[in-house]
Amino acid sequence: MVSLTTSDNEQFTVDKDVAERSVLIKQMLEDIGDTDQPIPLPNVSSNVLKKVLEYCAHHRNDPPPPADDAEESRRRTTDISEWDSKFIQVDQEMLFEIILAANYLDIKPLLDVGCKTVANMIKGKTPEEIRKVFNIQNDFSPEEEAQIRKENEWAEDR
Amino acid sequence: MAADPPATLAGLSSLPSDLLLLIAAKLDPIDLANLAATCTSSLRFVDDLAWRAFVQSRQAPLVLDRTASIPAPTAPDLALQRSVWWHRAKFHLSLSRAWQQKILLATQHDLPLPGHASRAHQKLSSSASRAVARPPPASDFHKSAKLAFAMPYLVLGHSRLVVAVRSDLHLFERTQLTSIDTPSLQALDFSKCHTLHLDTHGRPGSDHSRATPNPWQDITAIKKVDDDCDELVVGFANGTLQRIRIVAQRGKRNKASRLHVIVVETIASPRRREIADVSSSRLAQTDEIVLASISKRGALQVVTVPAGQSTGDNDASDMRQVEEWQIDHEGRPSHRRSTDQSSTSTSTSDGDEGSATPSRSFRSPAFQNAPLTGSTGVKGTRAWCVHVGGGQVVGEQDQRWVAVGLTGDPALFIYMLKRRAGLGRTELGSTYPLTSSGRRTSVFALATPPPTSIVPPYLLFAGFYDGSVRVYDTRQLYRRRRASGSDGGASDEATLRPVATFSDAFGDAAVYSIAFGGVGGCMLLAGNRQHARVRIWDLRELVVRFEPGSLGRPRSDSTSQILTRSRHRIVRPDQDDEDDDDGGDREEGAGREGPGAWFVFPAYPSSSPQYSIVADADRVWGVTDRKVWVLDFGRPCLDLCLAPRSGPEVRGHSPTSGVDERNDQVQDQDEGEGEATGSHVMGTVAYFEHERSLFLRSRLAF
Repeated sequence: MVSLTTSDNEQFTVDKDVAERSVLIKQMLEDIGDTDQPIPLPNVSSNVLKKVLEYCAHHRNDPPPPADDAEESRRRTTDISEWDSKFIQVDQEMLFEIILAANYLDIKPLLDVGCKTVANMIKGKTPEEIRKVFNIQNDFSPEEEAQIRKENEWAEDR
Repeated sequence: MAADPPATLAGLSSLPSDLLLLIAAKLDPIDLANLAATCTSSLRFVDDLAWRAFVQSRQAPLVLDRTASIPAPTAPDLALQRSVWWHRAKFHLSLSRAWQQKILLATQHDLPLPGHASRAHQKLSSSASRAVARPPPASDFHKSAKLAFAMPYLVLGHSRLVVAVRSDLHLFERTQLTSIDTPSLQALDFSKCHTLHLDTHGRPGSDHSRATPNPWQDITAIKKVDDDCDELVVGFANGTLQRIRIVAQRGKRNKASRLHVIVVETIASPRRREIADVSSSRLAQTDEIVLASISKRGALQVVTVPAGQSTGDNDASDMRQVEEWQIDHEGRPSHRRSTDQSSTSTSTSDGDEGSATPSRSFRSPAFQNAPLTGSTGVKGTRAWCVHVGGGQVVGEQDQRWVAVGLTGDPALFIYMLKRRAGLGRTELGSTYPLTSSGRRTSVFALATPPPTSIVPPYLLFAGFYDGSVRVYDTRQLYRRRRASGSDGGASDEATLRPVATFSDAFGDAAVYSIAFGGVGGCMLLAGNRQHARVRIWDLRELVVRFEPGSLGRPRSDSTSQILTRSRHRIVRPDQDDEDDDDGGDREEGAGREGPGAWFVFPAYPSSSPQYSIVADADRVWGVTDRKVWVLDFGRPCLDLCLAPRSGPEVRGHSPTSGVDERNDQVQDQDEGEGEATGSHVMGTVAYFEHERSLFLRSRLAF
């Protein structure tokens, strides 16, 4: 068992193989050896870590991801497994928090799921729809907007 | 989300840009464009970072990159400035579209003739008048072209394009080829190129005054050794093999630097025997170079140049080592000689001034080197091509192979190259013949994709007499070796089956040359024996079946095997046999008139083969008996980038509207039949599209 302490001082105790889904924690454990001391995670809040650990617990038996997954991340496939897509149905703030936590904790598959989810929120949408989804304020002047719309024509239909 | 977001990007902006880039990498170009259109901060992110990552990661770099010359955007009357990366992404994206929709500018250029050729070309360049610049009458041209005929070759590298014909190298430097101001017509102006004369006696120079060059001194094979094309390996009609380097030397009086040739080493042949092909492979890890040459009669030479010697001086030959085998017509090699020291560098060439210089005719050696037909009935070996490949480290050692194409059944043999420890001697390992096809055929061209291509470099492409290009997965060589080694028995006397075959209904003419072009090197170009035709296939369909990590066969959906880390794996023999059984079926289906297959031919009548093809992401250069021609897919894209045709109201005050005039000028040339000059804009080319069974003309602009 491994103890983890979040930024808001909450303690979580999980199985070692669950915690070791995080490469960061795994390396920490390798460095310090077995310990009862809780591992501090000052960049993660408790509600986010709870969610992250839920993911880790579900994927505890997954085979290790390929080491050189540069190709993988570059590919534009945005398929997400059923459980993962249910798991990631959270509000936007939580989604970004999960992405940040996954990046910090170095959980590549979770980071990938998060990025894919955000990408799917952008895909196939018009600029106006994207603005709505992410609550972006349009700060272009009408001339600028007209220019961009014209310039974007070449990127279409492919 | 906070109630009143002051930040324009709100939630998205809470992510650092490296994470945003991960997201952007999963988006299509149109989505990036739409994201950029939401607000100024996302525009800056997409323009400065996302497009940059897009250009750098997804697109294979251009060999000769003209997009670097796209000027930094200066559009004072436009509200928004777009980044250079946006322009370059636009170029890359339009390029894919240009290949798909056959939007290209075609030009053709006469190869220089010996003697009067250079003079004529000078006149052409200096003269603005077409009347003065008329070429010699057609009959004269034909006569001299016939008498001076030699197979021309092309080599393309980051530094230059080399056109090799007879004993001359015509060099078009990068600055010439990447300038976007050069009108298309002058893209390959032989009067403005550097011409270097090669000589197997080691007296190279740029002075080539001999009107009738010695055909035994003809270049009969040439390949680049480095990516820049500064170093080349050259085979000659008299059997000499040379490694040469092209260096720039600042002229004394002229400011312009002069190019000249340094012969790094000469491997003379004891007998006069024409080199049919050469090949070169550099191992990135050790920098060791392996050169190979094959003579018409099947004498295979493998030259190993150890690391560090590649850039050495004249004593480089001290370390290099030459091995020679005679390949018989059934592909059996027999060792002839091996040389460690520079003992062969004393010239033993007998093919020169001493003996009577043969008159150049259609029976000259250079012509005989032109592949004729598959079966000549002549006893003995007729070899056509050689290719050194491998260099990917398999297991603990570097595994390299040399492939030889000849006339026979089978017509392609692949040998492992083994290094004998201690002596450092290279040995020719076991033979991996191809599955016999039941009749004699020939392999005229061999190629592996360049490292910049998305097509895996372990796939060997072979151009056959029957007009097909067959693809072999050379990783099977290692696998079979290991498999048979562990079992102790070589029950399955390793034969290779093609993993894909590319052919088409009109493609029964032999394949003489192979190149990889297009964005990401995903277009397979095959030069035909007849009518200067080039066939083009889209390889992306093939590539998706070779996911990184999958082994051996193209995966079908049911039997996909994605391996995680290990690059090699021993497959049980029974598994193997099973694979072989249905391998044939797949071969039938693969690549056959699939989407994206088309062929193109120059608009002037020609029965010439495409002797050599080289290709970049945006251009294709081919060479026939008398002409170099260029298919320029990038030019229309550049025009698009330089003059953003963003609708009539913007176009009116576009600062680069001059480009439109250039386009018109091209049209004029096309209509006015610019035949008078050595360079000739065809504008469009004809092509045949298999999907629609139609002959069409390519377009000039978007």
